[in-house]
Amino acid sequence: MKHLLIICAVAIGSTPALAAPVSVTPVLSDAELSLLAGSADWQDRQRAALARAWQVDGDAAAALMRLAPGTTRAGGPRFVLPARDAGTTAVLLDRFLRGEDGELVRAALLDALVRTDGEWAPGVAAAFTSEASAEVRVVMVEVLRRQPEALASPVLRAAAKDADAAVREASARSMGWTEDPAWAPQLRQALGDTDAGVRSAAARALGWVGAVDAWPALVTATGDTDADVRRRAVRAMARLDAARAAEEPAVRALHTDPDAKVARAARQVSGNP
Amino acid sequence: MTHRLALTLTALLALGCNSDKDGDDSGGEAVDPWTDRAVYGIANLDDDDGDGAADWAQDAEGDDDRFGFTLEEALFADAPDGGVLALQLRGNTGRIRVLSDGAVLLDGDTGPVELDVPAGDLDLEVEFRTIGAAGWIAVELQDADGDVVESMDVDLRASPLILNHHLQPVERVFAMSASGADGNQPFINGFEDVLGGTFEGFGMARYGWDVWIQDEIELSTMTAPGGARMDLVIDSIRSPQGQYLGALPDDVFGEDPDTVIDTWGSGVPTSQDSFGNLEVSPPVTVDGVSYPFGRAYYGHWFADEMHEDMVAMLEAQKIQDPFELDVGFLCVGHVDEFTTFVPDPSSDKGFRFVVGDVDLAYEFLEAQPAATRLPRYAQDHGYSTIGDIVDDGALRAMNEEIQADYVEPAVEQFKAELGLTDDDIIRIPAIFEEVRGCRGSTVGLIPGTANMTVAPLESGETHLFMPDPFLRPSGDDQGDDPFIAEIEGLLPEGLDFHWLDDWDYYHIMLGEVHCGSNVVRTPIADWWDVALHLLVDEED
Repeated sequence: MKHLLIICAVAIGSTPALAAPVSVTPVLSDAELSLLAGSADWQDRQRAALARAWQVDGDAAAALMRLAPGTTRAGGPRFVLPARDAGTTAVLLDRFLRGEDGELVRAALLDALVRTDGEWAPGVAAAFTSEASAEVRVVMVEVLRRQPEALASPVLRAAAKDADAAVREASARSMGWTEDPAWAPQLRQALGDTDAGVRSAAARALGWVGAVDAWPALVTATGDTDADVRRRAVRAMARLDAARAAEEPAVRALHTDPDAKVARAARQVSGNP
Repeated sequence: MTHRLALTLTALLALGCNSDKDGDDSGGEAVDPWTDRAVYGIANLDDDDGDGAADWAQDAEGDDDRFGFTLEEALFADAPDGGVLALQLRGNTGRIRVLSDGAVLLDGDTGPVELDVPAGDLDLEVEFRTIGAAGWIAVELQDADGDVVESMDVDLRASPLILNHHLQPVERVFAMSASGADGNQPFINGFEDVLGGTFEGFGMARYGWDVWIQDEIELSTMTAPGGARMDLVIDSIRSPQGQYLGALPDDVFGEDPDTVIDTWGSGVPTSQDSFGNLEVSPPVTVDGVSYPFGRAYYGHWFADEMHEDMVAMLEAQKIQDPFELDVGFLCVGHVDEFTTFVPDPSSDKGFRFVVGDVDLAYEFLEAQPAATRLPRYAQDHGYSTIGDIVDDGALRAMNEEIQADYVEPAVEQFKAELGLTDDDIIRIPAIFEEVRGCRGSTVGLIPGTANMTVAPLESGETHLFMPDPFLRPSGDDQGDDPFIAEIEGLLPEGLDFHWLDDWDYYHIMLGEVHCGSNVVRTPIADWWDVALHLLVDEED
């Protein structure tokens, strides 16, 4: 649900302070920390960054653990960050992975992590399959989509099969943001999803990734029962091949679509606005 | 009310040559006193004696919302012997009462009445219970047999509720304030330095740190002849009454006997119930119909719509005939995110419609050095340079679709609904980004300039308070910002521009300057003179 009650958001904003993280080992030496920081395992690197953050400024780390988000104009929580350094990343990631905040705050923590300088993506990617909240999984997909392929791809693939339609929709949308035509098969499949939001996101993404082979699937989508799907299919075809779309009978058939936006898009694509 | 009321008896018609009841065809200008008239007033919603009850419900001490009028002695000069004066209230009789010497003479339960023909002036008062209440008094002079000798109607009408538009002078400007190192003093100072005592900041800590004062209240007025005015603060259902910003209307306006606070709607709110999603155009004429107070507009976000009670109230006013836009591309979903109106004396209409434009934004960005560093955008949006924005193909694709599927249809709708031409429109660069967790809908990537506070002063100056775009490598030097230069070059001449730092408190939180401020404005037109054509219908 997009629109959240202010009352909820404000209540979320007053989340009580959390206990000190159990994963911190404050007695690690510099050498041990350096060794962990250079590890191939993201969990070691996170331990090192987290320990360093608490050692360098424990008060700041504690403040981050209890930092309350503000309320966006849409009514949801969002963090204004006091710092962006790697220590901030480590503390916020730790807070996220603990799962002790409500789901909206945990989603906001993901949004905050993206705006920090440290390494967070491996930890978030690793947590995807065990994340219980669909709301949080949606944002996990969104924050990971432009991360290195090795991290993003498994999550986008898993999300495409998620039981929750909002997560599948986020996956299709995010495949579009990669602009990678390799996602075309998954997107064609998503075009047949039972959920209109997923189909709509997939139609748009097929245009963004340049999936020329998806033309027949998009033609089929112009007959979808959902207006957004039809409109985005038209837009996708225009993006793939504007001249071909202008002559496409399936597009012309939508000039008189009962949905004004669909009809407008179709006429525009046909060069007849 | 702000001003003591004067008598408001207004002749609707001056008698013309074909209405000379004396049969005098000599071309004289004799005026028949038995001519239809009108009394315009304001619903008695306020609480002049401060006892917590609306004055309509009681005989309130100091009540100044009864509107006097006189049936003057001349009306009865030729009254027949044994005649009577018959008065009957018609129309919204349950919402109007007529009083004589403080006692009810006519209302929904009382009347019609027959009075002895007055020997002198007959002074009466009218009181309205509801906004826009309308009716009339059928006045008849009857002879001893009950035959009508003379007659006329006295139309009675309470002011509609009139929302403000951007051409009206500001009286008070508000924003929420927080002091200290983490406060929003640059934002507050930006207003205060220009507006001085006209600006007021309210401590946001008391209101749950809610800064969105634009969304919480809509400021409106009701007026009547003689300078009568009552302000009505519409308190949104977005926050619970008395809590968070829902407590602000009472705090700020509760002690003012000339201001009332009301709410339309109830239940679970959506973002569409916020009043950044309710704006008003300046005066327009559309297909020959004049809207001297402009037209109201609001947005719907897919199935989310403004509460039906609020919509019904707006429609019932008739005077600002509202229309609805599709704002489904916006995460917050408010019309003020991409449209506004600014005064422009050089324009035929006196204003320009300002709308965010994606194509213009890319044209502008592509003309800038691609390597221009953008520290603020690197931190919060993931774009380190202008080139990063320009080269993001998906971002561009999304924005192109927003332009084609939402912005252009909105522009066409504004043109049709407000009778605008392309010359009336100023397009300004705007670019949108997806908001995480918002199902793919968007918000301004570059702080949305259209989300500005427009503040004309009585002195004739007009100040525009706009979000600092920070589209520059340096932090503070706005003189180096090409976006600022671009916008200032596009907006009308003669306006004073102020670029406020709203980044952390507002922009990052999906709002800008307009969202974080609100304005009390001075009414500048008299509805009974210029807008009766929108109010009077056959039912009346």
